[in-house]
Amino acid sequence: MGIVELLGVRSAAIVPLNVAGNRRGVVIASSAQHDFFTEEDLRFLQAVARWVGALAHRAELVQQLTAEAAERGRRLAADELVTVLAHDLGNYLAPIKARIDLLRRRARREDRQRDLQDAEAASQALDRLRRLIADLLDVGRLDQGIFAISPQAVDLSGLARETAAAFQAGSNAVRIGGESPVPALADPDRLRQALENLLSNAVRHSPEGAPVHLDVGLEGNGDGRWAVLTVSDQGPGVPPDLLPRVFNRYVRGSGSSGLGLGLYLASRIAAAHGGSLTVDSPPGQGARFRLAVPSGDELSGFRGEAP
Amino acid sequence: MEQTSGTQRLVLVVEDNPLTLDAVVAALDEEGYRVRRAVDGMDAIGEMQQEVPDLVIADIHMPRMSGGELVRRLREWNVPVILLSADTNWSRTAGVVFVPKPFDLDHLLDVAANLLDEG
Repeated sequence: MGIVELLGVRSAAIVPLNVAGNRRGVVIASSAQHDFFTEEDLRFLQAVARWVGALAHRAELVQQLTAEAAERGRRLAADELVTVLAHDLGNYLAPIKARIDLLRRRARREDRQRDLQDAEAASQALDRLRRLIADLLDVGRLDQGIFAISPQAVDLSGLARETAAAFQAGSNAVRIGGESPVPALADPDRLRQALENLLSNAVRHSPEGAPVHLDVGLEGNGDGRWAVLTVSDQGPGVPPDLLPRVFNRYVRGSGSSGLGLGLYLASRIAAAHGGSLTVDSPPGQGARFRLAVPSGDELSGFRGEAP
Repeated sequence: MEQTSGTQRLVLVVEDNPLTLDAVVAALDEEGYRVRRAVDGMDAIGEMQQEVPDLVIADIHMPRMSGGELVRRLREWNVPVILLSADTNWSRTAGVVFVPKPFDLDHLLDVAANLLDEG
């Protein structure tokens, strides 16, 4: 025996319950008498349903605003924490680095070659630690949803030349090709960080002496125009099993010594710009990373500012 | 000679971390600059009132005075300012030169020398 029979329901009026235009349920009035409800009862029931719907909508809005305020508060607190942490860690590293630099400067001035070499090695080791800390802080920012970029008009080819300059002293030269200027709408500091990560990855996987190629250009397709950086190396390429996960955090290739954050952060930086980072690695032909950010050529006056 | 003019230049270093303050002061001293030191913004303003330097090198996050207030007060003297901080939110502050921490000493000394040459 069903509930309707159990309750002795012989007639019912049913009206929809809408909250902010969306059907959420129904309001039912039932009676033990046949044909109990009049047109007037139905209109009354509709009014009740509208009223319940409006109250529910208000309650949900309040709930949503409260949740949003809590989220804003949490983000502010997280942002504050990361800023304080960055400042404190900087305060530990700064004096060490300054003293090593001072030793190096003095060794250079007094032409003490062995001390100069040791001071330089210590300085490089400290730089690696500094980059690791900066990367971990960025991972924290990404986790907390407070990783922000400030896009502006930049010339990608100039930025590529500046960034590559730091790599020219190493065993693998960086050869730059492509167009100039390449206007982009991007955060120059973040883009430099992404490109540094791509270049150091390419250098790390290159055979001794083999140059890394960095191409800069504009590309247009169906979804707009993109300013594109392409980094190609002549290394063994990305192993096929690693390819689907290469932009995940803490993923490391066999030749890597870091935490596996460089490509992950580069890809997050591209995404934060509304762009993309992709990799193409046919077996035995090296790896080719392509970083695309929105082009800035619609910005008036940009070409006038470019050198 | 460059060194001779360097010996007469006065640099005020404002830094609440004593280890960093000592290191920067040691480096500037070795370059032949005259150096005064302050441990926070209030202290720095006191030093400025005693003797106006040719250059100020200042941290941002220090006790007793906010970074914004310190920059605003320092501008009154029209002296070149290098902000030395790990907080890159200050990297685009108008009218000052930002050097991120941990800083490269060669770079900091180059920036300081350039600002002193311009001034």
